[in-house]
Amino acid sequence: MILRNFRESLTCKYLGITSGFVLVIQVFFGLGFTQWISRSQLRLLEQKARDEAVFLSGVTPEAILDADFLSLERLMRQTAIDEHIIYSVVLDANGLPLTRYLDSDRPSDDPVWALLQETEVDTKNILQWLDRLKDQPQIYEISEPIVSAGATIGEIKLGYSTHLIQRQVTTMRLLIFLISVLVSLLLASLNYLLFHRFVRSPIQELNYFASALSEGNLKTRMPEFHIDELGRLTRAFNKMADQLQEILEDITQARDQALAGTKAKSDFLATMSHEIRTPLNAILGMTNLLMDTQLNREQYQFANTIRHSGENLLAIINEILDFSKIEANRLELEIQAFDLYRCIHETMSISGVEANRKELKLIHTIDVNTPRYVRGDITRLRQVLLNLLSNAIKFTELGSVTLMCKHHEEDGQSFLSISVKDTGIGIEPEKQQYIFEAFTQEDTSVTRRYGGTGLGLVICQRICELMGGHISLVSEKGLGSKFTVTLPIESATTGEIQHLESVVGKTKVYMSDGIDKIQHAHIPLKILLAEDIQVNCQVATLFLSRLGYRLDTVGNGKEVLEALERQDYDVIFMDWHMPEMDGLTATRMIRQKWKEPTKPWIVAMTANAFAEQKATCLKVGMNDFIAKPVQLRDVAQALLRVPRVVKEMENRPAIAPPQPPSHNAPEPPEESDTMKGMNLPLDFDTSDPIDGEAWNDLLAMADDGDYGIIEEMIRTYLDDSPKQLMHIADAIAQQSAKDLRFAAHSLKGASLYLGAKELSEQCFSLEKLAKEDGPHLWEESQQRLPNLQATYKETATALEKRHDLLAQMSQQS
Amino acid sequence: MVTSVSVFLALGLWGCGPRTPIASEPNPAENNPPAIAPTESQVYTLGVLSIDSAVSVNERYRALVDYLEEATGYPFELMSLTQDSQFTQAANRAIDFTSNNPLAAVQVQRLYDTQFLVTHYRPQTGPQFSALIVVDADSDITTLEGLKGKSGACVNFETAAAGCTFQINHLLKRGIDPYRDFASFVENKSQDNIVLGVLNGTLDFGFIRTGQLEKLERKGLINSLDEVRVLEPIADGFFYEHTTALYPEWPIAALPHVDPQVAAQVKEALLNIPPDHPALKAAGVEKFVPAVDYSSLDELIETLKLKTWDTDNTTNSPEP
Repeated sequence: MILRNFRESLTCKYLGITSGFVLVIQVFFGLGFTQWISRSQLRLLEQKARDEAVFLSGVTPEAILDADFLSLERLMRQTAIDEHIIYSVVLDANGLPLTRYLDSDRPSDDPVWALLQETEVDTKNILQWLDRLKDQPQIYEISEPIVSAGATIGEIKLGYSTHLIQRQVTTMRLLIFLISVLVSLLLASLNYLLFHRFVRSPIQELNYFASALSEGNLKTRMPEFHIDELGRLTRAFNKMADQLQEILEDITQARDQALAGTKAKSDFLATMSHEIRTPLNAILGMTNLLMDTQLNREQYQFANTIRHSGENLLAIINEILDFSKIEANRLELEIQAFDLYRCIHETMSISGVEANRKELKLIHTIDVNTPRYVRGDITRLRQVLLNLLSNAIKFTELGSVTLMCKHHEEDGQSFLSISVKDTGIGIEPEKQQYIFEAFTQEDTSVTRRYGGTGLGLVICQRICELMGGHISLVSEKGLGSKFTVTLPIESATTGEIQHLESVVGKTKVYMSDGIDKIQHAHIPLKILLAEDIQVNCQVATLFLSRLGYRLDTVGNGKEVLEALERQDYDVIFMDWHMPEMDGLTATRMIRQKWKEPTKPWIVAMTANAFAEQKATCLKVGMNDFIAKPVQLRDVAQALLRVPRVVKEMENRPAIAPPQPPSHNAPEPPEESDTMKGMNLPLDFDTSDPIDGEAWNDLLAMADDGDYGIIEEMIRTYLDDSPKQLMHIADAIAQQSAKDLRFAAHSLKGASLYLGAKELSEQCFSLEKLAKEDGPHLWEESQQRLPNLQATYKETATALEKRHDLLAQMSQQS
Repeated sequence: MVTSVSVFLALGLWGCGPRTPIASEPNPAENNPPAIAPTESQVYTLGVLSIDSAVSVNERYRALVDYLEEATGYPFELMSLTQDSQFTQAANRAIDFTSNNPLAAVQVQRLYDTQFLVTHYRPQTGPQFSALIVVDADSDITTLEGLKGKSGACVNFETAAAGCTFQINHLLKRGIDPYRDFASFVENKSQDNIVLGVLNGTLDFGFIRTGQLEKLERKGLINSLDEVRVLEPIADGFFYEHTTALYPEWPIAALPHVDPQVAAQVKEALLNIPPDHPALKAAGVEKFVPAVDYSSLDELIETLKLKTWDTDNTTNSPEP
């Protein structure tokens, strides 16, 4: 503790060193001083004793010659009054003692005290006493002859003890030591106070200041109170802080500029990709259409080349788009529960096409321990696997591509490891480290030979990292490569599993209830669709074509009337809200003008699916009612209710009960090894702006996995809806309740078809608001607009993604 | 040292001066004959033989003199006397009353016809004391005869009572002549010195009075009485061991010029001093008794042919 303090605290160090130094010096000098004192005291004592002896030798002759023993005895006593002198004895010329006095009244700590208590001293034993005392420590004897008239008549023996001086010296040493310690303590305290005040506190403040600086608080400055070294240090610190702040500002500015540059780049890339993709889709679409027409071999090959190049271009652009998203950190994962097995099967199927073409063996195994339903971003996982598979296929000319899915646990965390192994060209060891870098392939010759942006693996790697996993590579030049993706996964909850299974079940039993019936009725019906929203038109067209009917479309009530002028229609699917003339007005007019037998069967199509509205429709002369978003089954049943159909069906009882044609009913996807029904993204979470069920219903309409029409619908929607949104904004700006109502209604309907429930609902509420035309309409709608726009943006992005997916799948097929 | 004691004594004597104007006059010097008769002076002087010092005399007898003044109503003075002055002052009538050792007292009496009033009565020993001869405890001398050929000392051959003459008288009676039979026989005025000399081996034996050893022991000059041995002690039940016969204690005597009535008053006062009077303790006596028989001293003087041995002493008889 103390040692740690000493090491860590400047004050402790300083005080410890100075105090220790002072203490040592004091003790050293103190002890030296006492030593000196002790020596001089001892010398003085010796001198005194000698003087005393000389004095005694001077005064005793008279008493000796006079035999005045009493005087001698008194002299001896007198002499021994001196506390240092233990005895003084007068001996006669024969060395016999004439006196007998010994100072036995010594202090009890005197070493000779105990000795002196043993027996009493008398003249006879005094010499033995002297001998014994002489042997004691700290006792010294001085002899002085007594001379009278030139003859020695006796001798003075004087014994003194240095005990008292030694004791004093010991006491003095102790005192000096104590004083030294006290003085050191005092000095240390004083030192501490001064040091604390003048050094430690400023240093501590500096320390806090420096800590603050290091933590990035560059705004504070130290007050410059001192003019000493600390003051200079403080000034230096302040100056440093100034410069740091300046530099930081510069750097921040530079960083912001750089970031802005990067963002601009990413934005540019994203925008450009998007912009390029739109016409490219058109090119591809048109090429496809073109290839469906009567072409000679040469023309077909040209068109095919166009289509392949376009597809490659699209793939490249998609990669760039993804990459730019990753670069801009805009790539976000959509975590939801999904069927992993199905995902792998689908991916394998997609890749199977190309593998087949190159006559490669495409194998996949899934470890039995692998959970079927897991949570994660299925789209991104599929993207990674597709990319790895497509790479593997791309760089393999002979042999096989194998996908292995394994599951293991580490520290309680589940990991999915999916490896894609090929027998392709392999990668040289020294080049392996570069292949995960952007725009890098093994070498440029590879790019020339195999094409590609070199972004695929980078994107894969980034996606894996984003998912908390990683991607690794084992490769041998000429033998093949093995990419392994390791991802942490969590199993789906029971609720999610149930949901997934129910969705699968639903799609299985979907085709029923009149659809087959009407499909196989082959009753020629002339159908007119009055719908202003193009997507809605496309949906209806899709549905009816699935049911085996074609139809004419018009954009509003007026056009309905015009169309009816030109020819008769058996059935009119009539939208409620349309520009110029709405469905109700048109119906009323039709009913006035066209009677039996040309009287058309009018089916109302409206999102306003309330009984009240239904009643209104029927009241004005409509025959049937289906709610938006229109379902295939609804359309089929509506057709089955058409009087002509009813009559025809009655007239043809012999027709066999509808058999579920195998090509119509999608087989269970997990068992499928074909493209059909595989790409249904059946799994959605609640945050998805596109309602899963509605979307699935829509997809189910597509015939034989041909999603072209849905792609087209989405494209149309994406093209049209911004206009609708703008109409809404304009209507609000111009405070036109009617326009607002109309625009909102339009967007609502179109959105609903594509499953954009949230957006549709927002439009609906806006529409309702406009209809009510309350006092706070503009205020309210103004407030809702940004929210609506945001929802739209989300919806558009989601649809874009789905569109891309569909496009990708169409491409594969 | 001696000077300071004299001064002290003078001061002490002057201390009582203011009460008696005459006391401030020059002390009747030993050499000056009295111009005025003592009786007329109305101041009575008590002379006391000094054993060791005038200070000691003052200490021991001041209280008694004060008592006498009080008891008799006469002014009294105290005077320290030496072996010499005890005779000269008596001759000069400078003293009115005198207290001396029995030998000197008898000698003064034989010369000046003093009247013995009382005898000191000491605690434990009463009106008597004695002398002893001591040898070192380890000495091989066991009998008086053993002293022959040995070295010894006494206080004074002529004037010391228990310090010399008593023992000489005793030895002579045994047929031992100290002056002839001893290897050396010297005077040493201090009995303490004599004991110390015996103890340090300078002397083989020493003559001292009873009570002296105890005094030495009290003073711490000897560790115990056992350090010395008393030669041939007489077993007569006397408090102290002693070698010689018992002799009467010190008397207080009145000189013949003193009015007998005054002398009687003084005697009366001394005999009737209250037993708890501090003067008694200071003087080291229990009481005073009427003067005892001092004839043994006359005999001693005459036997040893000491001073006054040849004086006609027919008139010198103790008071009845």
